[in-house]
Amino acid sequence: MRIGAYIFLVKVRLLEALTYRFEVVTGIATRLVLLATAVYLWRAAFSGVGEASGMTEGDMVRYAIVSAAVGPVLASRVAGKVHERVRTGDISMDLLRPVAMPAQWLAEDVGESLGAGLLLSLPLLVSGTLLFGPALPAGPVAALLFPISLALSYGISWLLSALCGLVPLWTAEIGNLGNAKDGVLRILSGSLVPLWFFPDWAQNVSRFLPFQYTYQTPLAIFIGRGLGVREVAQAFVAQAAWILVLGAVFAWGWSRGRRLLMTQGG
Amino acid sequence: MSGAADTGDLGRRWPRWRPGLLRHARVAACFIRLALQTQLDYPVFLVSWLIVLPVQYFGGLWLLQILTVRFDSLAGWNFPVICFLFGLAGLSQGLVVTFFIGTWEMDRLVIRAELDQMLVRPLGVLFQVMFRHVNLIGLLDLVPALLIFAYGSRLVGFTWRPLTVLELVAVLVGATAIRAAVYVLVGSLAFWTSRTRSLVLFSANLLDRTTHFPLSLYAYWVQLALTFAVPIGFVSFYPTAGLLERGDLVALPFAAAAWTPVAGVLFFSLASAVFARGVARYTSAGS
Repeated sequence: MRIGAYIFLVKVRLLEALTYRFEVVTGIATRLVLLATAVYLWRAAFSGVGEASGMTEGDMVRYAIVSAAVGPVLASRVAGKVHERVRTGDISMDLLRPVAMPAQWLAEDVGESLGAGLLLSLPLLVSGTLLFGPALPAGPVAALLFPISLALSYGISWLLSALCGLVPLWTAEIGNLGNAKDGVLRILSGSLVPLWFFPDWAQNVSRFLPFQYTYQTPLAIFIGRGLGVREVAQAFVAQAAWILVLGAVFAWGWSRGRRLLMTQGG
Repeated sequence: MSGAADTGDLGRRWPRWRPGLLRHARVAACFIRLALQTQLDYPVFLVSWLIVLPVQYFGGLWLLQILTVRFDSLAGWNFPVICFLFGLAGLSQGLVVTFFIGTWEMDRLVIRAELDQMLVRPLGVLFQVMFRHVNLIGLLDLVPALLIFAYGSRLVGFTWRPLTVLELVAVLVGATAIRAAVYVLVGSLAFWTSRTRSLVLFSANLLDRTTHFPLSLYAYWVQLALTFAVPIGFVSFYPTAGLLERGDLVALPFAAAAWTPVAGVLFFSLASAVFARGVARYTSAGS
């Protein structure tokens, strides 16, 4: 059964993540420190201000905790990995395996993300709660919708990374474009400052870009902002649409780039 | 004629030759020339950085501008002062990335035993670590940093007099030394734990969050720690208050540009002492 091979890749990556305990402890500690800086930022911002853009200090602290927790899950390394494998030529080994290459990358990344979720996200959620206040979903509806939205987020953020990973098939020496994508994502995903604080024109532009549907959409659901039926439906449709669009672009790019790679490898 | 053969310690047989400052400067210039030549051979790799760095600098500043618009100020710091702070922090960041990027990759020296070849050369080891690799990407850091600093100093009405320029130079030298010392300290951990890559990235992130934001938004004990234990406050926070003569913006009495070079010298001395202990402990990777 072919699917068994992918499940095996997921399992291997998961086990690999479990092996490096020192990395896990420093990973949690360093993320907690960065989370603390975000919490202090919101506390300073809200000092003397009760509410801004419909949010209170408590809302934003919760938002920051959950943002830090989902960070390790949403981080996908596929762009860097492909760049490295094309540069070194290891990609030919991937092609020899009897599984489709992009699916192989996806399976490995899902395994890594599951490992990160277990080893980093959960401890971060718990320690963030202990240090800065409870990070609980806004209600049963939010608790139910959050994981669905997060799964869609993962799809978008993986595809964005994978698309950057295709670029080296054309030009290997341009550097890792994934870093450039990450830079834009950091600003426009709402991972630090949500877009509802942005000026109106920026919010309008961002609505038509994929970035805010990675972090902000699930985080807003979690803290209970925009839980109306219409808003939720809009959010999910936007997320699904971006997966379809980016998926189509990726499939097209891969089918072309793959042939280029063959001729280059000789 | 006894003795020479049974002297196990090579160091005692050779005269201890300490090259002077001039020779170090000449070697540093040579390192820089070589690094530039190798990097300019493949200039396209800079392309992705041409996108990343402006996005990072202008995007980061934009987020702070958005917050100061919604919330008026952050811990009493308004946007013009934060912009000045951000630009000042960016300049020393650019300098450290240009000249001392070698301090970011110190774990490689230990894991791959690259330190061996440095130990046998008649030059300071830390000097080689720091100057071995001059980085063109750092110049790309400096451009947005300069633009932001110029904009910030216009917003706050910074007066360019010979004295303030001198203060500014002293601040940049000190701030670069403080940043370099942070990376030397983190990198020296590799002598004990061998893996430090993730800690280096964390330090870079943390330095951003502590030099781009005014320190006064953190708890008092954090401010104390970032003043006396790890003097990151002297990179941009105190010198901004000092250069703008705004002692009211900071809680501790260090609002003067002169403190930054002092903190830089002290902290860098500490870092190089720790590094020296690490080297003493170093055993190469092979047999």
